[in-house]
Amino acid sequence: MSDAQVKGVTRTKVAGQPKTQDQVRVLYGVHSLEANLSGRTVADVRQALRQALNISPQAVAVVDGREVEEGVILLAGQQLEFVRLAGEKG
Amino acid sequence: MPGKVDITLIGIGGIGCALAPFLARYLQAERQLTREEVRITLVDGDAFESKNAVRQSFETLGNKAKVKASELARSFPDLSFRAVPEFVTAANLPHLIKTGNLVFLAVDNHATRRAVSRRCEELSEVVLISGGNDFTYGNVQIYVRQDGQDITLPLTRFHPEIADPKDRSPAEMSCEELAQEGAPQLLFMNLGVACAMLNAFYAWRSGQLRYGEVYLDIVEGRAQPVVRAPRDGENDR
Repeated sequence: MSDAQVKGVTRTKVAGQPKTQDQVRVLYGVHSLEANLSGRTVADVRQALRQALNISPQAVAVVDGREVEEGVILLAGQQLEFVRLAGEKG
Repeated sequence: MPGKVDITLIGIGGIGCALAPFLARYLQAERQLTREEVRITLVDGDAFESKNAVRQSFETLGNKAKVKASELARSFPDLSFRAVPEFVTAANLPHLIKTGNLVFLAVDNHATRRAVSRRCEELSEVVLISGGNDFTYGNVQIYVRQDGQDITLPLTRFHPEIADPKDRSPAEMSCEELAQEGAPQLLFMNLGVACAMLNAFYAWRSGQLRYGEVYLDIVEGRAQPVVRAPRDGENDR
């Protein structure tokens, strides 16, 4: 997936399950996208989106609310979130 | 019989200064309907200096908690204000945060976020609304406990930078270190986070809270709420 494609499909949505059951929703901070990523691992998705979304290597991977390892294979209808680091200042 | 609202605001910096007067204005107006007794405790060990004026509003120099509590008391006479001119420490946390409290956390370090979140984990009833920002990005986390159960997740869950902070509480820093602290911040981002914290407060108070964290990016013009609910068994810790 190219950077342009990622930016093109990124839209603000209330976090939840993907609209279409054959897709995976991916969240990182304010960004969300839906793509046909079933069968890919969390590590695959992190690598594919790392530059486009500037995903921190520290960002924890969470699938449907549960922290997961990088080798977990994604299923259609799931939501994968890379939890963006909290703002520090105030 | 009218109830009592006990609010603690920790951190009276860029976010806290933006949040406090609007919170007080809302609660004073609401109090005219509910007759609830409202007490707001402001906690900050730092002093306002003129260099802070870029993002913070204080009428006089001095301890931030004391000066802001005095200002708010004059503007909102129906509410009760108390100042605690101290940084959060392990020793004072049990006195600052008790069961039934609503806590707004607007500090500038993850070490204090961890300490406050852990204190809240010990309580049976508490609401913690924590905000933080970088330059144009920010987030708000809402940790709710009811009947000794997590309704949403503590600040440290999924956030290793808070669970294992690399920074230190200002209570552990020397005067020289404190003077050198301060990555650049944007007033508008402080305002955005303060607003998101108040939005979360309203959503919780009106029984409509549907998320446990919200991300903000003022350049992108976007906000993204995310559910943070405990999974089966997570409340059996």
